[in-house]
Amino acid sequence: MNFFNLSSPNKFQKFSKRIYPWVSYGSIMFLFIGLFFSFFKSPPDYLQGESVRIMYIHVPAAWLSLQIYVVMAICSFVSLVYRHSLADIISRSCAPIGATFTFITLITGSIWGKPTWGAWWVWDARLTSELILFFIYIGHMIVSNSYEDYRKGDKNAAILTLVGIVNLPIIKWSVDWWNTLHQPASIMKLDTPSIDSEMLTPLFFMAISFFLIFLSIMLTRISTEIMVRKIEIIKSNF
Amino acid sequence: MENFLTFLNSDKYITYVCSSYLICFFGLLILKISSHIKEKKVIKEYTDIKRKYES
Amino acid sequence: MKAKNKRLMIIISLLATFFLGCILLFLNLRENLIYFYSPTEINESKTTKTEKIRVGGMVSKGSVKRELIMRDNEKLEKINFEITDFENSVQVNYIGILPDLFKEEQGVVVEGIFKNQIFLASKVLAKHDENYMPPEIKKMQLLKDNNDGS
Repeated sequence: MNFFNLSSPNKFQKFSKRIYPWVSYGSIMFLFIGLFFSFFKSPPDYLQGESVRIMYIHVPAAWLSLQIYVVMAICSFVSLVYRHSLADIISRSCAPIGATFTFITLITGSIWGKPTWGAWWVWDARLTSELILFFIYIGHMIVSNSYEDYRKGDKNAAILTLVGIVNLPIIKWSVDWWNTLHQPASIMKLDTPSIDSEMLTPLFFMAISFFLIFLSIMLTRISTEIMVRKIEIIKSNF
Repeated sequence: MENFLTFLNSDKYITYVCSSYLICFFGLLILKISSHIKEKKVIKEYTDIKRKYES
Repeated sequence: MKAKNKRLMIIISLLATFFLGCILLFLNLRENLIYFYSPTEINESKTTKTEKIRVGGMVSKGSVKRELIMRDNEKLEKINFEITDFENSVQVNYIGILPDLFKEEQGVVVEGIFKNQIFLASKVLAKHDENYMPPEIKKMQLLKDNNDGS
């Protein structure tokens, strides 16, 4: 099939119906593999002890909170320039998922911070910028739903997303630019990862699982949104 | 298995680890279920409206 | 020009101006966003020493001294230690409970005020680095380092 046909909502919906079961079952399969490795096959850390296991959900959630924003920013750009309806639909479906993953990042990070740092929350650059990301997601959801005409909501939410992209490099490199309590990157750096391979395996499987969970929820929300718009069109035609 | 047993015996950290996993999967489950509920509702609305306007 | 291309130009130029403004703002605000200062930075600037600040560094080896004191009929632990960035160091005094990860030769961030060249901490936070490994491998690393050193 032609990949470019996917830009038509109808073709996309057919395609998404076909891959949804694979994505959905895949996410559950990888989740169980990931859980098995994170509790049975990975050792405690030399310094943090057992609390290192929180990393296996905290880090994938944090990666996704940034990746989803990148997807939304690209869609917002396409929507503003080329007025493509599918871009708006994807952006609108992604916002609640991004907000959830950011929320998970903040909460698990907080629970991890208590036994390691000795504090639930500190106002250092990494934590603060991640909190701002959460507010941007919430703002996107509020803006896109607060207009009678959904097209107006889409447009304003897209502008908000493009403005908010300033926050992404700040989150990513905050640990290098400033003295933060949060530790620097272990994997996403030019050097070799500074995590032992036994701890890298559960992290890897959890990251795949979280990504598939994101995809499966996104597909559901996109097909819902396409139908909502079809209903609007039918209503306005009569 | 050995790793799991030492984890179970670490009474200091087990509550932190378990609560973070529970909160994480609870959040994801709520999002998943609410997305499906919304989809069901919209499908119903769509079939209703199609029947209404096509007849 | 097509409407599509016009929109592309407008959006790109708007975004470019906006990001340029953000970068300028960011470069000016950079100083204010630092969570803690290193002992060297503290030594260089004598002005901020009366207000509440945070200092971060490594706990010097063999510098931790604990003693029990009585205050308001409560037994409290008073801890003396030294924070260093391998150039300068700061003496810290703290009364209270330390986080589990507080150890010699580990990162730490303390919050408090300076009084007579001694830092009176009201809060101690443990900082850990980006390395994760099982205890056995850490032990092997330490052994290897010791062998190399001798």
